[in-house]
Amino acid sequence: MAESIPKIKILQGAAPDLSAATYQIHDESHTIGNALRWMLMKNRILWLQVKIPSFKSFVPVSAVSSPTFLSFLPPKAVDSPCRLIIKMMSDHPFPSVPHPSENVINVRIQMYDDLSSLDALVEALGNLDNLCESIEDTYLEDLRKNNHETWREES
Amino acid sequence: MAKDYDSRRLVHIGAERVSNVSSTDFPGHYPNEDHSWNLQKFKERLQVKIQRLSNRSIDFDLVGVDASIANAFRRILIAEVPTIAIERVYVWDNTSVIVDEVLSHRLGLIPLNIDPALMAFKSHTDDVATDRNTLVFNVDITCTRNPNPPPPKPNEEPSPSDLYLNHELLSKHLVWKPAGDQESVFEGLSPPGPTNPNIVLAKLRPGQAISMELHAVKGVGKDHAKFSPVATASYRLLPHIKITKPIPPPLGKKFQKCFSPGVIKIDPNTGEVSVDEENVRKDSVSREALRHPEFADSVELSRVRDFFLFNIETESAYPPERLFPEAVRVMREKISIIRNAAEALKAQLEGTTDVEMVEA
Repeated sequence: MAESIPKIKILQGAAPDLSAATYQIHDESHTIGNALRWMLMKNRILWLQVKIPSFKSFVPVSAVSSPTFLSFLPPKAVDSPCRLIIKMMSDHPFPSVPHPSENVINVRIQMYDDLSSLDALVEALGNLDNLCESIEDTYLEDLRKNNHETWREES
Repeated sequence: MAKDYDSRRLVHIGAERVSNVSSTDFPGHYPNEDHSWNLQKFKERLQVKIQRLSNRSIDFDLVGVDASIANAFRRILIAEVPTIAIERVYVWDNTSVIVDEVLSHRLGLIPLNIDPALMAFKSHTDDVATDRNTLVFNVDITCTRNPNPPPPKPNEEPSPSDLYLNHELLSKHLVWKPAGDQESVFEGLSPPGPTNPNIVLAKLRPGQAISMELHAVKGVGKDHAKFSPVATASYRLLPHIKITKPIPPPLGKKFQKCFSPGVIKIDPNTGEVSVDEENVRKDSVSREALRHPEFADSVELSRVRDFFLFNIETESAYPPERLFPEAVRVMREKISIIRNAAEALKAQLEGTTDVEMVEA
């Protein structure tokens, strides 16, 4: 039997305090990757940073999106070490991976103020679950109300 | 009264391009505005409204979520909501003109009426088949000449159904062979079989026969498209049409024809041209109006970025209204697996630092 693959792995190049790290999530794709990226972008820490007066001119470029690379980068003009960068690569050629056809996504999270990116990841996952729950509840509630048009479709 | 949306919610549609495509509702985009995650605020904005429901499809609006979320559900519906399909075919005899592998492929694509919740996944493809993870069907059919064909009609070719018996292998010829406690599991439900009994799988002539054993298992669409529970799962963004300058009544009809039927109203008395907000969703957003110089400055076309018009067609055992909750369930399962792994990783890392501190 092959060795069981961990669901999440921290890739090489992470800060010792995990303020910046790349997480490799096994057996996941853009389905969860993009939703997770969006939720990480909603991280409250960034909002607290933006509130500091010297950042009034802070206008980040909007999310760059392409099939394999998604990132959110504040402009270079901001003279601050603070960044929150979320990168997602589905086909990152990482040497320590046992198989060439990888079924993984890499999520890079860099935090302000040396906060833990792992905490941000756990928090984002929790928020994403709350979001799904409220969507499901709202859907089922509307279905129960039964005030939609019904019709018969022949196959 | 024309409906107005916050301009931040609109994707602008020009004659040759679209702009304001990306969402901007995240921290740091607007100075001194809090766009960080807030469940309460999200719930206030969230709307789900089911519009139409049939025995095969559902149309509903999902309003107030980001495209990444709506797209996750769409992708899960196509690729990750499980269904049951025929996975293994043991051919004892096949003398028909369709070769074994092509026939096997056709069999795999038959939609089955089995509720996937009643079955378990095989943990590995080479796992032993049990009554919990496999359903067995038999096919046994031999074509013969009809011993008593009806008298031939003049000037008409006799039809195969008159001349032969069992000249077509149809999906209804699949015979379920219950194993173990399957009979009690499916008691009271329609017996496992194809959703459509009349799918032609092979044509036969006298002397030809097919004898096979079929094993159906639970799987997901990302493994093979035959496991996909939906015929289509798609969404569009709600079109938004804003008339910025009144359209002169003589041009009303021409303006109306630039849009899909029912989208533009013309008042029969005053000739006033307006947008029918109830029907604006029917518009195909062809941008025809922008081609005419007389209209180009009078109308603004856009789509509402967080207003998704979902359409899901089922082609499986799931009733259409159950598909979306299934997708949400799959999504939450994925989240919980990753979250448990992340928390375990965190505990593991904290554990190692503690040990180091003790040693120091």
